[in-house]
Amino acid sequence: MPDLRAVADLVRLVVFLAFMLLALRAARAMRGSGPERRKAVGVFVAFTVLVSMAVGVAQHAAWPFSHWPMDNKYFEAETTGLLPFVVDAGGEEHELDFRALYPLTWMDLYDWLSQTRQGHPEAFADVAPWLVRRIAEARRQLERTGRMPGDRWALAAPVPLVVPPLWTPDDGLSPLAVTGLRIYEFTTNLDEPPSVPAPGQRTLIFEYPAQ
Amino acid sequence: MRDRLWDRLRHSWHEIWFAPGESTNLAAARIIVAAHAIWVLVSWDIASLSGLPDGFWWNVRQTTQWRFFIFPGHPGVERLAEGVALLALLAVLVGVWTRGSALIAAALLYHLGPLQAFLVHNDPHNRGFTIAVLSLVVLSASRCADAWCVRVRRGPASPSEAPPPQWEYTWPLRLMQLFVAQVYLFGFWGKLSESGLAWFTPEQLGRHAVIFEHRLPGRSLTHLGSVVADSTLLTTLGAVAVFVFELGFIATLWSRAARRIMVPAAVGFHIGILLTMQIFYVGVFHLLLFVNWSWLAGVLRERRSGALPAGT
Repeated sequence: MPDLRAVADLVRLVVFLAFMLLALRAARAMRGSGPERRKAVGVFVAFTVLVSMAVGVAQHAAWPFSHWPMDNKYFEAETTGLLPFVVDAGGEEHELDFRALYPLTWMDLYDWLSQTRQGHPEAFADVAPWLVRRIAEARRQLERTGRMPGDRWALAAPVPLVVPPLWTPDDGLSPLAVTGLRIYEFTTNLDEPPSVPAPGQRTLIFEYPAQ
Repeated sequence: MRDRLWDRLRHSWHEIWFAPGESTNLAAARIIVAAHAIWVLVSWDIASLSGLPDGFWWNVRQTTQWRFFIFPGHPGVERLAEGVALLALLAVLVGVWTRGSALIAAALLYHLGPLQAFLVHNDPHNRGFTIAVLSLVVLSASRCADAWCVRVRRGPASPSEAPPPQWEYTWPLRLMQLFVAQVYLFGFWGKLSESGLAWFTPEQLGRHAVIFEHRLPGRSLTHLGSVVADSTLLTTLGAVAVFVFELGFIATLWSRAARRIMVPAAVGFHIGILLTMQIFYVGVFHLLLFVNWSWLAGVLRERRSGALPAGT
């Protein structure tokens, strides 16, 4: 029995290649007669409309033909979230400034952590040393230059989830030597005012170095 | 009866895709798509994501890697891909060798887009390359460099060479507009199919407005999400607005009146989402594809003589 997800991957690739080939055919038809060009363009337009609409209606991603899942989830009042904390040399926890993760975004790391927790928790230990080194270097850079890797240039395209900066050179934490990373899960009620979960209200799900 | 229906359908299809169009509107679309893709490309260090440790890729199927031609551990090769993509996009921007350049840029962005999210998602729809890849393929098959382009020296034009038919400038632009309209149409359809009509209730809109205030406690941009969630009037209006706007935006493809209402509404929609949910939709600039640049250029040209061109 073939892996259906693998077959779907190949079908999606074939669809995209067909899209490009039909565009190429329409472009080449510019050299031909008017009716020939019109026919090639007609086929290309029909294919594009059909595929892009089918992907959206079926709600199955075939990127770059996207089904555009724009916050479709139905939220119950109680929902969960993940919070990352860095640990300093003295064992004290501090909130993580997401700019330190660049070029990763917190949204992507969040999804990766959620998938990893479900499917392969051991993978966290493989990537955590790299993450901690990256965050520690970003903090050192902030203390040295006043800028973080995620600051980039003034008019750079923003990250999808816009979060105000947390760390500043004069935030009172310097020198902050980052030596560890902890990821907590917490539960919140969306019908109540948002609040920072107290240490007793969150569960440690990943930790590096492991205690 | 069936023949009449078929004729009407054919007529509508023809009206949407093959009505006479303006070369300047298509050229403007070329510039918007290329400039936007360049902006996103130079804003991110996508190549270095190829150098992420192996542990990050545990959930990626081999067929997915082949589908996007992404094989981790080669940031240098990816840097080269970024460079070639940038050159190709610059060529599209100025209208030089557009057909080949657009196709090359599309193929490279097709590869780089999913890498931007290191394949955590196979549908990186909110990263800025989705509409770009589709539009660049469309541009590669179109006469998008008949206006507003750098002229490259060619042989003398044949005297018998007739100007291209005007429909050549409509179908590519309309396809690109369709891609933008699908963002909202499928946004609506996805909510309906995943959550049903329950998504469009004041209670649900309020929960969406505060989701990131809860998930990122103490890191809110404006606290406007809580203001919305606390007001029955605002959540009710918001739920109705999302329903009407997302369902109605598709009318911009055939209705000038819809364009005048829905395109500014879309800008407001994205500003509202940014201020409440803290989500910046990088594709918002593709709404510029709905502006009648030909008319605007005419206004600027005619202003000196004091006469305005008809129509918008």
